Amino acid sequence: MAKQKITLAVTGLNNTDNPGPGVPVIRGAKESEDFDVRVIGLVYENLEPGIYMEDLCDRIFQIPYPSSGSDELIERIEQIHQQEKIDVLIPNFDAELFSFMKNEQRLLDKEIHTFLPSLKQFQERDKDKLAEYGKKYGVKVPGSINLGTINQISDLEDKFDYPVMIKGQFYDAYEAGNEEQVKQAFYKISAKWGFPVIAQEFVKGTEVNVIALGDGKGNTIAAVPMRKQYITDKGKAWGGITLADEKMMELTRMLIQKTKWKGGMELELIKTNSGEYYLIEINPRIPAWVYLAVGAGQNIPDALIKLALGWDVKPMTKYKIGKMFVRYSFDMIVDLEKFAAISMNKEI
Amino acid sequence: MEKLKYEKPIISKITAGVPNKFGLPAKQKIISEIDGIPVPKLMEEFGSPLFVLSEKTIKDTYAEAKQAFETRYPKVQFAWSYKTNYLDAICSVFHDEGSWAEVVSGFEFEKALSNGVNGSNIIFNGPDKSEEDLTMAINHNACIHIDHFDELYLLIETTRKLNKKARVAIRVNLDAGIYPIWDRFGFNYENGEAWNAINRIMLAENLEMIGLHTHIGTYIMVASAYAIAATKLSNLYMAIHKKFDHWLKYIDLGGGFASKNTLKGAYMPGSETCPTFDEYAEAISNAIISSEIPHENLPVLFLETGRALIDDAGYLLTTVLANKRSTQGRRTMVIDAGVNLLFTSFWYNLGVFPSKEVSSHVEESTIYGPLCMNIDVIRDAINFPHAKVGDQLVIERVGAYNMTQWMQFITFRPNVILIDLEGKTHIIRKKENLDSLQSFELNPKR
Amino acid sequence: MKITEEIKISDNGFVFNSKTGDSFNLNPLGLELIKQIANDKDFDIIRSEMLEKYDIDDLTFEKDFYEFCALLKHHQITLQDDPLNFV
Repeated sequence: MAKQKITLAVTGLNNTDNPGPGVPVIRGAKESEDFDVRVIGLVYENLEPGIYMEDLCDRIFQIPYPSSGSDELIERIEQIHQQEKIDVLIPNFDAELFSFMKNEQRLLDKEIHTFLPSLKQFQERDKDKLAEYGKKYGVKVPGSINLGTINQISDLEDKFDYPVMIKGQFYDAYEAGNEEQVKQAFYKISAKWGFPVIAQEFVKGTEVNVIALGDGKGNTIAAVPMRKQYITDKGKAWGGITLADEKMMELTRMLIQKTKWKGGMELELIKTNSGEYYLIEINPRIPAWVYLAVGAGQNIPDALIKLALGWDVKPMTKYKIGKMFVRYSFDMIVDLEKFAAISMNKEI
Repeated sequence: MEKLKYEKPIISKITAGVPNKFGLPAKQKIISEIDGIPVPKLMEEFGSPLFVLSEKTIKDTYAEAKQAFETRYPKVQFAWSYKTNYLDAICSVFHDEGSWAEVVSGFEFEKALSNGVNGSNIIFNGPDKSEEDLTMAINHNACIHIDHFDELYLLIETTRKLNKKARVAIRVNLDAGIYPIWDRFGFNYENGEAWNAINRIMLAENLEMIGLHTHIGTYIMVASAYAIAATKLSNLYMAIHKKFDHWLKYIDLGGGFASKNTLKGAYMPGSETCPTFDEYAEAISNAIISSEIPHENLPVLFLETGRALIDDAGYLLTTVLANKRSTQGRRTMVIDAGVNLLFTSFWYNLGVFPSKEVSSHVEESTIYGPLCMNIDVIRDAINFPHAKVGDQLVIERVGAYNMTQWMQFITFRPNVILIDLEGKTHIIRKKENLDSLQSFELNPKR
Repeated sequence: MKITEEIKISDNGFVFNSKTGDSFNLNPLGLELIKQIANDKDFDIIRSEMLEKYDIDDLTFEKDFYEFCALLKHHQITLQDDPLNFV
């Protein structure tokens, strides 16, 4: 049977040392057995490596940052849509999800399909609400205190032993071993990300992750657990291996079932030595290591496209255990013309 | 031969890869008129800079807020927050709509009386109430919101002296899950201080306890915080009934609703992320209605919203004085309105817009005010088209706090005008002049 | 005022400085002017041609022209003379 031709627009082509998931999402989509994918790369910056990778994108367009207002971003997408007729759009940046979730219907009216969590699902997993989240859905989470002032350090010391994790609402996390380090982290984070600053109990164990896809009705369409084998100083996985861990899978299915999660997600968990799992964070989108799931037999980008287009997708339950990914850096040689074109014309 | 349209020559550096907050050049919004009156006409008649307030926007915003609450809760009363904007004409618009007055000083109290507000419809907040202030409030039968124990005892003493009763409420501070917690005002809920104060008041023969008040902070971007606050006040409301068989008249949730301005450091524009009146109303109404309070004894819900009701109705019209290049090559522009008129520019990225199409080329710029002070920066980074000297600009959402916190510095404060519902303009505060300013001065040397 | 040798100007307004690695973009009038400057034309001649061609007064053009030149110098597109050599 001939493959169905579709046009897929993807953001996050920044495969740098803090990589966006755009490039592996495209790789997955291109390996689809059902789609013949034409790829529109959407970039914010003129040096996103995905722009320069051979045979990755058919067209590239620069789009305005969501911070300049959702309307401008969506209008630019609509303008690109007039030329290119986008069937499915997969946004991959945390900062842009809000704008796309808010404009889901507006895009759908133009026949641009997305598959994103609802604003409620998105907001209830905010880091400063993790304790409530854990209680509501019956998952263990590390104890935490939301810090509004430095004076609350004594509360923190009453409640937890050092070390503690000090985290920003959106990004950044530091391990702090004493009061002085808590203060330093507090000032650094509050200056950048505002209040509250989250102090989290340090749970000793191994960091493990699950990539998953929920269909919005409570079904887990895909789920692959992984352990990071090498972590960079930015906290990014540079190597990982798929695990056979039924407990992690159960936890994932339970959460997706209870929250009716819609779209891609990543669960960050700590597995303690006694075999307990603590939920540290939920990322509301496909993570950058998605290609490991594809390689292990679950093509999550392909399934997400199908869900976005309203297909009936059966849950994938099998994956290859012990598959690894090893990330590497690679220097491409490119001509100035491409850089000039994206910088001057905002499209290639 | 007809000449071609001229556009200023520009060269700009392409920044490679570095995240450029602005991305593609944005479509430039233009504000060419306010309530149908062209900006140049307003400035020709009333000068530059010029504050303009739209009665239509005030009334529309008020109606929106009122509807949001009244469709969800049976008894709602707004009280106009004087400190937000106490120009008499503005207060009158709110009082005509049915708003009471919420004041925080003897001066504001007198202003409310002079605006024709009945003393029993004045809510007296704040940590600074002298014996004279309290005497005035008692004599006018106002609702006195007690801030601390020293004030409570001063009030008891004053009622004894006057041999009169005072109608009181207490301000409660509480943890509503937001940061920072404003625990410097009022009596704390969590540690039992508020309950102690209530018990003392209930024993005082000259004090009639009629309400509970809280104000959880300013620019609160999460509606759910109000639900927590409303629940805690509802608990106190019921506890008072259970212990003293006394039903209070009202619960006052203060203000703090966000306007649509964008806070500095916020990633997304405030117009997209700030909760709507409906969201605030939903959170508050649900919390009170679903508390233990029986339906027939539900308190009146008081709201002291200021900023969210007036910010959008205010504009500042200003003129470009000069364009410059900094030594770093950065474009800078000097306008005739400074931070002395725009206190809110310290915490907002105020929206500044041309009043007509000026140039299709936008460039990251810094906008300075006219003061010879280094702090006089209206916007430190804004993508702005190339405007010429004399071009007229409009700064939006400046109706709250600027006309009360402004200061007279170096030059006169400008005219403030109101555009009424018929589109007529009225000066509601005259531009200052040498005489008006010197009238306060005494010179022993002459 | 001389454009440095390392500057390459494309017809779409893309400018590349091969000495510093910086790149720039010009709007159409910027492109037109930089070409005139590269051809060593005098300011007086450039001005009279521009006033002929475009709907603009002489003082505004002069102001814009010198601001443009200052930016070219700032970006090291034109040769730098010693700013304290007051000749």
